[in-house]
Amino acid sequence: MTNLTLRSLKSSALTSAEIDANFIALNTNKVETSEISALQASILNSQLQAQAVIDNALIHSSLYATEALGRAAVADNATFSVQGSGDIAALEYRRTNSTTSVLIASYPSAAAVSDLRLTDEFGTAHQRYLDGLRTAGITKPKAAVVILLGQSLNAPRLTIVQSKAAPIAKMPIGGTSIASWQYNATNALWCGHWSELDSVVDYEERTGQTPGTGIINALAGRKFPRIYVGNAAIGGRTLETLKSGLPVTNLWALLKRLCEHSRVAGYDPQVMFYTAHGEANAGTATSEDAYYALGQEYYGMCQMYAAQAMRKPGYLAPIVFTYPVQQGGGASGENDRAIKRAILRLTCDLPNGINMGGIYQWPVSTDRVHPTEQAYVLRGEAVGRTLKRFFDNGAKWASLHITDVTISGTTFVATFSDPVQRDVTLGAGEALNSALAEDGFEWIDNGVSIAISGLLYQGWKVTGALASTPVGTLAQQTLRIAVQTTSGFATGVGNIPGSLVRSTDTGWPAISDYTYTNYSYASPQTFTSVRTA
Amino acid sequence: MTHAFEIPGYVQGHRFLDDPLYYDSTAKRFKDLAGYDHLGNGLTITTGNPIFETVGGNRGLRLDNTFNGSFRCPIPWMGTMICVIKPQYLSGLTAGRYPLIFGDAVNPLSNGRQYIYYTSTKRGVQLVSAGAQLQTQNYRNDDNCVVVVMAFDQQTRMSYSTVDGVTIATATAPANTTNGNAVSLSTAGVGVRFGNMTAIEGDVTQVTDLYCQYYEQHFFDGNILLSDLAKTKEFIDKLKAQYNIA
Repeated sequence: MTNLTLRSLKSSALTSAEIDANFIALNTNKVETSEISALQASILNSQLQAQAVIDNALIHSSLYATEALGRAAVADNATFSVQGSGDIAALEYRRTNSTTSVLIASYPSAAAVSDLRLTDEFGTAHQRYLDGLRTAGITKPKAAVVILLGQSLNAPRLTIVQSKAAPIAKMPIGGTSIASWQYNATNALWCGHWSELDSVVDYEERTGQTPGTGIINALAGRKFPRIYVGNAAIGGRTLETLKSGLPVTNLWALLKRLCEHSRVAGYDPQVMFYTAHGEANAGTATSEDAYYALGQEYYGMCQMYAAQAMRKPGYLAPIVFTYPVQQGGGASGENDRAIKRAILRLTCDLPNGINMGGIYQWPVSTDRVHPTEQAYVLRGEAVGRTLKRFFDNGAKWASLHITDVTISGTTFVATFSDPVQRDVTLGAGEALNSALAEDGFEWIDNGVSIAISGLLYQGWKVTGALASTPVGTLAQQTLRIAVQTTSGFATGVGNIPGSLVRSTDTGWPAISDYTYTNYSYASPQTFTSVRTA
Repeated sequence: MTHAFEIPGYVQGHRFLDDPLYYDSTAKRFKDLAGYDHLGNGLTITTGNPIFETVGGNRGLRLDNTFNGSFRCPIPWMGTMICVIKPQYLSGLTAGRYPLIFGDAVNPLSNGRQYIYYTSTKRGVQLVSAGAQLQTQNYRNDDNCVVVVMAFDQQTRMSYSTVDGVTIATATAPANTTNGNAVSLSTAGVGVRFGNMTAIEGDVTQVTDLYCQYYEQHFFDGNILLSDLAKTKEFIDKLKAQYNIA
């Protein structure tokens, strides 16, 4: 059956006379199906002509009021036309027998063809709309809209050691963080009131230290003469909670209002995220795959809302990830390792996901979960520097990580993503699993640790000796770094999961404290694709 | 000619035609006319198969609970929705159905939702805030197709609705100066539930009392009834002409 639809009539290369002849022939059953198809194809780009012909044909043809009347008037296998309604001017049927007929074509009404013209106008207007979105604001100065996501490693905490940063930085009048808005200081699962976001004021920390000031320290100037900061992090919340109703509603509100404030002030907003999350899901024993799926959904939603708030469909907001310090969340720390593996996958797979690595190089509280106040600022500066590299140079910072591991007898070789060196000045993790681990490395043979010794650092590789030859299969071999299991409270960086492995790159002094030098230390990692040498 | 995307703040829109311009039949996905489709913003049918039908010369979806899907909520905190919808009463004394459910509260009716209903004296289309503290109002006494514009405004803490761009009904949120819950629609990671008319998750039993034909929906991230009323009215008039609405 051939059915001429509205869209098949979109355009035409036929003259009016040709269409007229074809249509009349069709209406009098002189056209075969193949010819009808040809007619369909050739009618493109001539809605007005087509409509004129259709109108003429309908006027001069026998149109029956109902299908039954038409069928009664013709012989078997003959066609007949029935008056249509709405968008349909006429329907073409073929009589099967005295009681049955088959619809073989429908013809649009003038209104419908008018709608076709509208469709063409629609297409043009829609393209104009999309082009307008692409070019809107491109000549204006850029404003960074920095949104913090995650848990208490981003939410305000402890005493404030640096409250203000560059005066170009602004925050919502109700406070930078949803956790400090008036409606609910501790249980931020309601959504904000307009008054919290009505206007913006100079940035300051109000209820605790966050990485916000550090980010501003590093990001201010050059590309961004204005920075807006909003903090959607909520302490102790899983991704399931953060991606649910009102937390997401708050995030949306922050994005919408900060982008609007930016535009009103004459800037073109550029949204960027920093997330510090994972401990809560380790606490609920979320699997690696489940956390990965949750992250894809949540962070994908964040990027979509950012694009909508900016009114830039083509914009994919960068998201900087770091790994939690926590390494004691049940199952001998395996729950935390699962989360860290998922974060690594997210940073690899999420468009514009940026892996900034571990944060154990900055001081941590005795709970071995939260950084100290000063560390919030130092970490923020590293995040700001990472974002600055992204926007200034188009560079996605990739943290130092293991790319390959081979084993031969008792000798293993780990290859890193950059040249590495041993640095004992920090000493992170040295007190953890000290009988079996070395410099933060741990070898696991089918679930059983084998002591490591004699590490040799050569360029991109670290060679080590195992106390015994692994007995399990290759698939059962794992090399871990900076994910030593912890339990309870302890003081000192030696009790923080970490390593002595860092990039040979020259470090950079902290902005807020020039005596502190930042380096790129090995990311917390569980490497399982061990191969033979 | 005013199009939805020519009204500022357009963040999502779908037209429910079985036409490749608007619908990917392989993916069962209605394309986002606002341009954010590639970011996961399309409306995807995940259960059952969409039913397209032509009623009164208008072609669209028949939402009867036998199929459903979801899309990202474009206006969880505040915004405006324009829809072209035709409630279809079948039987019973009263009935209420939910073409859209915006949140993920355990009780579906604690979420923001788009609501159609029938009573012996009137029927209507509403947008209801999370917790039902605020709702738009559009009462009718027939099953005719209607263009409804419904807005939630955090700034004024009011809801607004109109079917003509001239007469605008309003309602005021409960007095609460500390949070925005009463005005919000909320949302969920899974997005807005679409077509789950009974609001019973997993239920695909065909409803026999009240369903609807659904033709278009468009979302804006602000209250366009205050910010862009003239253009909104133009768009309403265009839709009314397009769908033969008196």
